[in-house]
Amino acid sequence: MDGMDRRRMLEATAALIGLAALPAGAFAAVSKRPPVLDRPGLALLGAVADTLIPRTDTPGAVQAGVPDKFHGLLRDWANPAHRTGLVAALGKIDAAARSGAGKPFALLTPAKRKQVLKAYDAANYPANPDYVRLKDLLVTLYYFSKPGATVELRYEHVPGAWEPSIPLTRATRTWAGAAG
Amino acid sequence: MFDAIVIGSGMSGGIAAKELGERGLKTLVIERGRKVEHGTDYTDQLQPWDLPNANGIPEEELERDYPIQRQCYAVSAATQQYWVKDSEHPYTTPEGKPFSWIRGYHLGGRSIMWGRQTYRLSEMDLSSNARDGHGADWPIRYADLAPWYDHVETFIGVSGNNDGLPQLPDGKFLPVMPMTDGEKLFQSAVEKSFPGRRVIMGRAAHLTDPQPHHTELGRAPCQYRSLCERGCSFGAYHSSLSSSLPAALRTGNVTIVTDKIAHSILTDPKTGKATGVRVIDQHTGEGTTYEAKVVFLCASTIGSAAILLNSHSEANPRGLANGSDMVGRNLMDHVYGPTVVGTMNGPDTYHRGRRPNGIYIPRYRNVISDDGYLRGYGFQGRVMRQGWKANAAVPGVGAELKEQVRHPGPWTVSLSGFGEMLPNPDNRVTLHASKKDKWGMPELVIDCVHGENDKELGRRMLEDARAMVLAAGATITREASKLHPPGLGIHEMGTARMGRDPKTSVLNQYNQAHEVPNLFVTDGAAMASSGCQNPSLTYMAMSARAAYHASEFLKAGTI
Repeated sequence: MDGMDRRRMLEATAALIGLAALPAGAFAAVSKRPPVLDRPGLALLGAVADTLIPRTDTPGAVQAGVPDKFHGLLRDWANPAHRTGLVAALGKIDAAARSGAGKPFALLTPAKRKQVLKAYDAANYPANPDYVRLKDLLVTLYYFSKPGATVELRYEHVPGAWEPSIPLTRATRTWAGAAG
Repeated sequence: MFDAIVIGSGMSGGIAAKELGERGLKTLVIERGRKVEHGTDYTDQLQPWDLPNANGIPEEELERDYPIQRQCYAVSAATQQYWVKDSEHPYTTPEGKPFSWIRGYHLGGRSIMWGRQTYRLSEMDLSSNARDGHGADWPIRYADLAPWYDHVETFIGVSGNNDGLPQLPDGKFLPVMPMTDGEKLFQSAVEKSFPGRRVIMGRAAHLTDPQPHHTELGRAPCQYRSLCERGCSFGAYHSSLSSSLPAALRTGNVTIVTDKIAHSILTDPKTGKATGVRVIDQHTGEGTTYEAKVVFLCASTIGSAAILLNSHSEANPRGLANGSDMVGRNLMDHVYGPTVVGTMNGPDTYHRGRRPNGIYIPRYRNVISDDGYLRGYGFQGRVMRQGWKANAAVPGVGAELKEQVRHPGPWTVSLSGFGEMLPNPDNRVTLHASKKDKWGMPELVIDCVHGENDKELGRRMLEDARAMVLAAGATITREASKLHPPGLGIHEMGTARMGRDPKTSVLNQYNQAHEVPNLFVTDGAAMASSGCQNPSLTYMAMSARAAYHASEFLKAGTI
């Protein structure tokens, strides 16, 4: 990796997940376990999450803190086989970017990233279990997040009533919370 | 010296304690697990974004400590405190005969995590053994249970409709939780296509309109959160912690001890009567004996059988109340697994709130006609709009994926069958000859398989579910055809069955042990057949009824 690429990668990381303000050891401070991903890995994760669920008229995965939470899952939740598979799934997306667009995924423009991920998704969903798991976890973390549940979707922790029939229009948002 | 000891604080023990206390008996409740405080120990305040690890238990911990429990749909980070660690509570199954024993050892037991579906057995169910010769004839009929069903339904609060079905008797219900428009459509399609089948609203132990006797206990109306398995701080569904134990304690007659594992029931060799219960402290291992005039065994179907088997003595080498050799035998669970899911067209409407209940299709097989096999099955289901999780489980990325998830998905119908498993004496629980758990209690061996009729029910329920989903114009998107291992229905029953003949049954018509007149078993162990309905209401009705009879026998000096 040349100096330019490295600097751009660090900038990308900083922009995506605010890592520049956060020492790498900060993850270890809240968890007993060491971080799973290094800085390029975190940049890749941030770029994939941002491409899968971008900011639109509502916050996207990065604004919802999904990359950090996903890194937490890798560290504190996934078993070794799934951890390896999830990291490998990210690596394969990066490899697709390098072979298809000549650069690491995190260094591509948003439009190019989307092109790469869209093609990768079409070829790997639902055939590739590691990618399916990666996508499912990122999606779940986003729609469980406060912005995902309350700004993108609608969530009431205590609905207080059951209304079995309400009008459905194009403006109606899906309820967040328990999957159904 | 107590008047009564109740072993177990779950669904059955909670009601037994309340009823015995209300009848003036000084009663001790023994719970093997830790104390759980209603409200303060619950996790129902956690918002989705507060859930650790997206509500998953770390996978290595799940594999190590919960290989059986994790099969249950309700196991999550938010409910982790309510499931036993299988690693601490081992049992053995023969090669190729898995049994999924799903349990929680804490005050209130599985009444905290139960599915809350609440149905009566019918005359058809209680006469089924006599009619086809499988199992021992129930020594009671519907008329014996009906007033106790009334009594318990009124106390616990059950939302539902009186549907006028002989195979699923009406009861004392609070207002029903209405159907979605998709469910109404499904209902009319099924009832039109299949005369004799009915699609009704599920009957569930939730307060839709709390009565004064509910609010007196601090219980509030259902808030439609569907976070029930975490414990409900509103006390909106019946559990031992929200409902029966508070009612028991306010009598001033009931004492609860936790962390005491019932080891055995002690008897007087001269009279053969129970004198008390020997317990082991789960933390210190210290042994204690509690004495009482009457013992209620409510430790769950398999737990109660284990205690009886472990209560062997010189006079009772095979275990207590086991002259018939029926203790531990006839283990049943509901035939469960086949599920069909489909998407269907319907009106442009949605729903608000998370209804903790679904639709129900009561048994229709072998009700009027003879379908060529024995007994039958019912279905639990729902028709709701597909939610975000399934909306997102499609190819696609970026703004288009967000757009796809943002809008409520198509109407989605799902049906799961629950079938009546025949009693079979070879399906049994025994004590392991040598293995002991960490408290020195014999480990259990559970040997239980589905029989031919049970498997036939599984095949038929799958066919019927498909046909009903298709009749509603739906496209099938997913189906599960296999039977789950027995146990995973979490309706285990039958290990100390009621019957008329002491030679072939353990308990008489009062849930009283034939051989030990001051011992009553009122949990699922007592069930002589399983019906296909969710059984908790019947355990509670039997517990209340037996408490009445025990109290009368004590007064009369006959036990």
